[in-house]
Amino acid sequence: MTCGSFDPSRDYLIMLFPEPFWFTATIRMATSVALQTVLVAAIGVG
Amino acid sequence: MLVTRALRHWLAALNVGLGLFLGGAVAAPILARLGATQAADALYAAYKLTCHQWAFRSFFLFGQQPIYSVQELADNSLDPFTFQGTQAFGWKMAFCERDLAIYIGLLLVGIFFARRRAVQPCGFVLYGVLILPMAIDGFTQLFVGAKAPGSSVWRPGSCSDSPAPGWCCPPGCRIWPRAAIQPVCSSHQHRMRTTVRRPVAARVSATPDLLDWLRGLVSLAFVLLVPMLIIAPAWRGLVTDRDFMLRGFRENQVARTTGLTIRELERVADAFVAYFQGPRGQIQMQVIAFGQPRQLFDEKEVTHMEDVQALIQWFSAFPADRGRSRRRQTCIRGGLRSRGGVPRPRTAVEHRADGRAGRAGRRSLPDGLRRAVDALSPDCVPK
Repeated sequence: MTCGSFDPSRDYLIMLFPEPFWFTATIRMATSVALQTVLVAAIGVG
Repeated sequence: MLVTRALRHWLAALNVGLGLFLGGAVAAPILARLGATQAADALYAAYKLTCHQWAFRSFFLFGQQPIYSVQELADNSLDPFTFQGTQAFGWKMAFCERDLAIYIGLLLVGIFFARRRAVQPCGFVLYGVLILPMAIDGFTQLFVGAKAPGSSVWRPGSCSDSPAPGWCCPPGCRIWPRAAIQPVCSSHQHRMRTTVRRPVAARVSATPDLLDWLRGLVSLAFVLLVPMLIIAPAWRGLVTDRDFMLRGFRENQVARTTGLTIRELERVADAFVAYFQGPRGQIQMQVIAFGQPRQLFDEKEVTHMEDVQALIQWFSAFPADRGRSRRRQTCIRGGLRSRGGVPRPRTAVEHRADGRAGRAGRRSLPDGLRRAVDALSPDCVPK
């Protein structure tokens, strides 16, 4: 099974950064953005 | 751990969250109807953070009709904006009709996706087309929303068509009465206060002028800029975090699947960090995988990474970064070339310049970046 145009069994790029990596990255990014948004909102309301 | 489980089942968590959010908006009028006014008021106050809650743009439950126009509300001396409800009129939902449509749409798509996980992404073009009505609605409101909410009923004011007898406004102005409770002290000696209802001017606006458009543009710029200022640093922090990459390698057992040693993976992480911060170019490394030397990426991956680098640098670029040490960039560039990834030869002048700048610049680099440079660039190692 290929992932887009890359083959996870052969291409090193996708072997280095498999789907779980991106899941974790997305969670981290979303958390960071959410915290900063709350901070900005708090400053704006305050 | 609850948070971890919720993140693993993100779609279920999102759908449940949306369901609860919608339920809360419906619960507010139900609680008000049941006489639990404090609980209802608390919900209205909480949802006020997410919506303007204008009465003439909200659905009403348990009343004579599901929606009321500004005219109908004003005719009954009710504030078209803040009116929550009565036994006769019913109680409005805790957010407006548009929000109701948006959140129901999100929930329906979430449920659909939960049942049909194999559905393919629609692509950015179709996404843009589908989101266009909402974007136009929200965008145009920046300019007209403050002037004419419910534009069909906000008519140009005049002495004759003014909704309240005796009201008059200058030509070109729009005026609408807001029912307000005005305390009138009839006698301070007897501490008596009489409350009367009478219309007072709520909003008076002239026809759109340059200042209004300017204000709209500034608002738009602010709305667009703030998310960028929040997202871009978070994005840049993510793609330049060497430890995050190494942790990902460990957790996903990349050493086993790639045949690279921990030391090699550290070099790879350093290379990516340097690549995302360096000048535009190609990334390539010679590695030992399963005991055999090889180029880490093939041509297709190198080309793909060029696009990724351009995207990341476009998204996370700041003027402050562009002005930062050119020497650092020169050093990294030299390193990338020296690994053989980019076949473009350097001139003698370039080589000397890179060497001087590299040695000078390296001393001022932070530890993490210096490590990255060492991994990439023998040219930059002090002699």
